[in-house]
Amino acid sequence: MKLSLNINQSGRVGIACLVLAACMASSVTVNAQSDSTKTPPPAPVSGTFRGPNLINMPTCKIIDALSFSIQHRFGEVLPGDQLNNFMGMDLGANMRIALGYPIIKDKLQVEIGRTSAGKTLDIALKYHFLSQTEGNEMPVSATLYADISMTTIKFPAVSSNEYYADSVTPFTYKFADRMVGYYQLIIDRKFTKNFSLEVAPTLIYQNLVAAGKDNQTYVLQAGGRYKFTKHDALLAEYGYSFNNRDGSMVNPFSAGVEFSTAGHIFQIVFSSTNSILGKDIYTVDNANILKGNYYIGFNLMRIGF
Amino acid sequence: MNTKNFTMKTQINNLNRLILSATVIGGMLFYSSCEKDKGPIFVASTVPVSFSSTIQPIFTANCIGSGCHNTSDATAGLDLSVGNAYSNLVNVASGGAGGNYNTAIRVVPSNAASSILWNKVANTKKYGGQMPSSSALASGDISNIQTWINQGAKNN
Repeated sequence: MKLSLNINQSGRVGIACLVLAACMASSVTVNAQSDSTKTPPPAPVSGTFRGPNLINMPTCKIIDALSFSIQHRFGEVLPGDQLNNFMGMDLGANMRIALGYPIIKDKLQVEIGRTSAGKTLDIALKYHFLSQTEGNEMPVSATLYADISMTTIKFPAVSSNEYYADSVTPFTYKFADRMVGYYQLIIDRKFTKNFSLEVAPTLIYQNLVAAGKDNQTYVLQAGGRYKFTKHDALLAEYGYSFNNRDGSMVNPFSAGVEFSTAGHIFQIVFSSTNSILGKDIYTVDNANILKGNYYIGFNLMRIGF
Repeated sequence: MNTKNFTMKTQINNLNRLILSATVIGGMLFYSSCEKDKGPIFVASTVPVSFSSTIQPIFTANCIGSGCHNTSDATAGLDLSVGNAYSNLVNVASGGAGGNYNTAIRVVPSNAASSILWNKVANTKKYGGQMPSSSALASGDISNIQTWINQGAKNN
């Protein structure tokens, strides 16, 4: 198969989204300046979500200082095996560590992470271009999110019997096959002082997929947070992929409890997946919670040093 | 005046950061969506794969260590030692992994994709995690198991 230099449709969509975001953000900034001499701009709503991630899915929140986070998922808890492997603690874990930094205050953040599954490096940019306002002049907040990840795992040896999906061209791994793009529009809204929801249409683009699958996966995610004390909250998120579904595909669901202080966020997580990066959650099979299979984990984040 | 200069400088800095970030991520977006590859698929060889001389040695070298699929431990009720492996695999239902896939068949002759054995060694995650759990079999061994099953899983 020839190396194609033509960017495909999904790539164009991703780049178009970013350019659009840049234009929108610039216009919002310019308008805010010209208006500031006349009437004060409407106050943006704060505290829709506490952190830059709900559980796995990103939120509209832009971190306000250098941050360090650890996301950890224990092994799969099987029915009847909960105590033997101590709720998955004795089994292989998946873990991500990441550093985040606000490039432009309240607008743009970058995050660099390393995940053990697939020995994956990723860099994520989040651009916040629309803020919900106190007077409801703008009813929602909106943010664009792009995460480019690269597996650094050693490719397996390829035998002479292996071909591309055309069954004719001998198969070889290329460097670009390591890359996956994850693009998302995040829309969130704080409904009451304690309750917020978000939805996020998502495109995942894999340069290499198994024969019979599409390179692009379309996903709709939704999540919510309910604060039950000043610093503690219940979290939940769910997603549905519209294609690349096997017969046994389970839609990923995660729930959690969040405890936070001024500079820390700690979450205990119950999930159908041990994947942390969105590009894995919707392209790798999940455990079936209804059959008694699930994962336990935690997220820990420090913001500001 | 100083405040105005400071505000302008901040805006120019922000614009520079925005342009730099858009360039970096734009380049990465391009590279992360520049291929449309699908594969690999395995096209079975017409040369018959022998159970006794090709497949059993894979089990003997990788699967029958202490605490695994040897005769005394027979983890998940599966014994892959010489003389027992074939009768434990072909057309035999699994009872492993907490009953999660206990109605599935370990080896379905002529159908590797429906066989637990191939799904486990190829790490498709259809039936739980990879086997061997410590490290994957060599690609050639996985291919030979696939070919042997697709050729009818004969006791040859």
